[in-house]
Amino acid sequence: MTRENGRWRISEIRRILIVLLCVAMVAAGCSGKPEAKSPIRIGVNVWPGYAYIFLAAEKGLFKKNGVDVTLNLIPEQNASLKVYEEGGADGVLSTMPDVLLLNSRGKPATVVLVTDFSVTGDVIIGRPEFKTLADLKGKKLSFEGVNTFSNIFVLKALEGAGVKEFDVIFENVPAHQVLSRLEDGGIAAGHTWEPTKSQALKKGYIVLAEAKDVPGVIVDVLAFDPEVIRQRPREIQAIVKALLEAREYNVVHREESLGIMAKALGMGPEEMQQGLLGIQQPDLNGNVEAMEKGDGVSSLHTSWQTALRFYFERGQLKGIPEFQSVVDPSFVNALAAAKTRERRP
Amino acid sequence: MKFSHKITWIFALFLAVTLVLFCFLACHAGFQIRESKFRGEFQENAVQMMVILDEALYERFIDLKNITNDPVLRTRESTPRQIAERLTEYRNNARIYASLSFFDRDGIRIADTSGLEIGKKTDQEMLLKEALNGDEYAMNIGLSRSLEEYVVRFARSVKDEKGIVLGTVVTRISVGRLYEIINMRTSSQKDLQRCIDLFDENQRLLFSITNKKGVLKDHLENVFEDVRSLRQSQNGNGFIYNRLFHRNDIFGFSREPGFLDFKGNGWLVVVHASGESIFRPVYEIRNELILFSLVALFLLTGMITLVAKELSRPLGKLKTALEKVGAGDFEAHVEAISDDEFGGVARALNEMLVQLRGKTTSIDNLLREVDERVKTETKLKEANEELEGKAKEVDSHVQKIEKSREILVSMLEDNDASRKALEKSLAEVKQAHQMVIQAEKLSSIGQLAAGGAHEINNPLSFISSNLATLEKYVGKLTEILRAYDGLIGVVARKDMVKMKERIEEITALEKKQGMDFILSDVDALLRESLEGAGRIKNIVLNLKTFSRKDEGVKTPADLNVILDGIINIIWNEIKYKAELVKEYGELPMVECNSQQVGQVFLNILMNAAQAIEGKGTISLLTRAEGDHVNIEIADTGAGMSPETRKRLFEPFFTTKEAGKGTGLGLSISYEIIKKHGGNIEVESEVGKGTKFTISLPVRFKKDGKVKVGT
Repeated sequence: MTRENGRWRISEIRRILIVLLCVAMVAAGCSGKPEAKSPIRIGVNVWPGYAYIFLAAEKGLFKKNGVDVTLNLIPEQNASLKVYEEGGADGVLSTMPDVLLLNSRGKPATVVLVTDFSVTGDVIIGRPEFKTLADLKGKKLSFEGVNTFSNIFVLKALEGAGVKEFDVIFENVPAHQVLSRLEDGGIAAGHTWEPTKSQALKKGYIVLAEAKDVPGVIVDVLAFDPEVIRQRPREIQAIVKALLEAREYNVVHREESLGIMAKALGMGPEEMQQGLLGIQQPDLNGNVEAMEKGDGVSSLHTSWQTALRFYFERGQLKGIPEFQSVVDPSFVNALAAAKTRERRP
Repeated sequence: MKFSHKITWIFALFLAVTLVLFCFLACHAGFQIRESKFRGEFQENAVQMMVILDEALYERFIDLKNITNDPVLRTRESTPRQIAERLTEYRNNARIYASLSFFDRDGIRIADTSGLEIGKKTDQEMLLKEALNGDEYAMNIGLSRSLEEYVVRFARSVKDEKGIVLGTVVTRISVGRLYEIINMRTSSQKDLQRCIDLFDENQRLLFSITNKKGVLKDHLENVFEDVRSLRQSQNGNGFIYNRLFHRNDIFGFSREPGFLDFKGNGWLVVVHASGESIFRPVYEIRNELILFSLVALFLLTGMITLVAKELSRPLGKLKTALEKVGAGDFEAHVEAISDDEFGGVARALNEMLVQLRGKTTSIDNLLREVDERVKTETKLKEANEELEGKAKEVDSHVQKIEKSREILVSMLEDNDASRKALEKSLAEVKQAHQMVIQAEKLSSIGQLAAGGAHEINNPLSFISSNLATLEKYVGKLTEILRAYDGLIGVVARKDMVKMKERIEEITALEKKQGMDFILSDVDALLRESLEGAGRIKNIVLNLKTFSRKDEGVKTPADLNVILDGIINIIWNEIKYKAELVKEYGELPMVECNSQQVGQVFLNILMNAAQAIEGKGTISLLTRAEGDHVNIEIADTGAGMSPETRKRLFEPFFTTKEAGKGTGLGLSISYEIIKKHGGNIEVESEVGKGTKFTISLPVRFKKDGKVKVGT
């Protein structure tokens, strides 16, 4: 092609136009994407094991990792789940069984991180006259939310104590109302956790069962809408990383972290401390282990299996979903791989 | 615009139009296909779903039938715990129920698999009432307080063996579960966001994936605008214009047909999807098509530009060549590369140029020739005109000469012997005449002729008259001689008688004829004639001298002699009119052309003679003055006016009548004198006379300067 000015100019213009058009079209074609730069919304309810997400936010760990996060604190678990179910949040901190249920209800959620295992955090607190769970036969027992993890926990705990579900009658009581229900005699015992746990214990109520009595049932996780994960994986990765960093920070700066986390959840530092004592937060390796499909108590899979059966019997599931479809270990695995690379010189 | 650009633009235009049309049609077709497909599909889905739903509901009733026939339940004495156990077993086996519960006849919940609300009164009184009314199955949908979710409830009364109603069993399945049953067994495309909405007989939304908030609140009209078809038909499909998206949302619906002895519950399932999700593939394809089209347009136009350039290159070459030709350069040549019409044109052009080159060369040559010819013609014309002018002059003079000649010839025709001598002289005269004519061609031939003719004429006339007389005398003498001849004969015969006769005859004859006079006269006549002939000879000699071809050679000559010679020639002209006064000085030999100088003298003398009216004087003065020689010729003629004097030396200027003079004499004289390096001056006064002064240099130098010394 000879460089005659007139023709070259026409070609140039045409080329530029086409490039612009292509860019415009590509941009238009990617219209399915949600606003790339809007913050990721995460629903949080009041549970000590989730508090460190506020620590991460406060300490700018999210920003440092290049992600913008909005945290939505809703005291009750079910309410928080509902918000997520109705699309008000991109992700939610919840228990494993609830995630399973979400999936079965047509609002999928994929687990990317295990925040904690409840050890003594979840308790069945009862009136002192009932020494054991077996004493609750014919009595009223409470759990928070039908078909929730609480439901499972309570039934499992009873099962462990040799009590059949129809031996007991139940009431649906939110955890933070358990104390007042105990006080007014509405229930004989109920499932609760901090801060109510400490409050109740102070009032003389006793622990009839703990999470560690039925290990592997109550596992708390961070789950996201799989669509969000698909479209914004880097940000999800950043969130996971930030949370693990927050966990480390908490280990190193306990006092400070305690203050921040207690304030964030609206409870006193003592209660928070108590709550934290009742849980075990797995680090990166713990997470990697937990997300592997296995049968150990530290495996998500156990929780998964338990919940599965529970829901299945109660007509809550159409079929058995794949574990892999609900749990995405890629983010923790990526971080672990990065760490291994770091170690090798 | 350049031709190649034209091609490119035309092509680009056509291609663009084609591609636009293509894209448009393809997309349009795509839209049509998708819409009709999904309308059909959704309707099918809806129908299918409704059937499945029906089956599912039916199965629940079957279940319910079994449960209510359970012996434990039918036993009045069974404890709540036992009942609960049984119900739990059913629940675990069926794996579909959210919960099962048993209400007593008063509607108090005795047992519930969820363990909730035990001992409380039902809030579904209507349902229980329906169930308690005979063998009917009752069903409703609503929010379960205890389960905190929407459930479909099935109720049937439990009767003991006697048929006494013990209570009611209510089974609940979550609506979501119902949905899953439907959804699981109907196929759907993964990428399509298919929505399924379930409406009850009151067109109240029972279940929706996308509209969870509207469950049990929204009615059909809220959700779908195009209600008519939905209300009227059993099943069908349609579309809703989505204002936001300008494309239709497609739906298909089906009403529950009702099953087995049971009234149709009048539920409506609507399967729909937004236009966006249905037509997304078309939009994607459209975007790709547009992108492809643009790329193709760009690439192909780019290619075509190259091709067009290539194709029109020969055209450009032709243009350049033709421009060259237009500018006059016939050496242009076009390379004919291509095999097509352009190549043919190029070849033809080359041939044409070859031809043109040849022709132009010829034309050029022709033009040159013509040019030359024209020049030659012009020259010839000019010469011709000159000649014609001179020829006319010659003609008139020749006519005169011819007349004179004729006269001479006629005069001399009479006498043989003398004629021959005269003829000889005549021949010479003719020659001289010729010479005169010749001389006249150059100068004042007329004058010469006239003068010469005059001079010749005069003697000739008396010669001829003498000859005539002589002829007569010869005749007479011949007679006499003949008579003597007779006498001799007679004497010889010694005829004395005859002899006397004859002598008497002869004597008479001699007397008659005047023989004495004749004899005396013959002498005089002959003498006169000879003299005359001598004169003519002289004149002729003079004329010869003067009519000799002028070679321009200048030789020393005695001007006095030349002057005398001229006078001699035209003495006849002069003698009657003027008295000659000669004052000749001692002149050196002057380098000059004698003929020419003689011509000059002749002209002036002739003019002088002609200027005199009656009688006058012509004075001739010659004098040597240093390196010059002066000759003055003056007359006492009429003289000239100043105007005439001014124009004197003008060619063709004459004061004589037409035909009498050429007007060239003096101009030629002037020329001659000038060419000799001399000068000629005129003084004249009207009534007094004219004086010509000729001065000639003794030694002639070419540039007109006179050689000083010898």
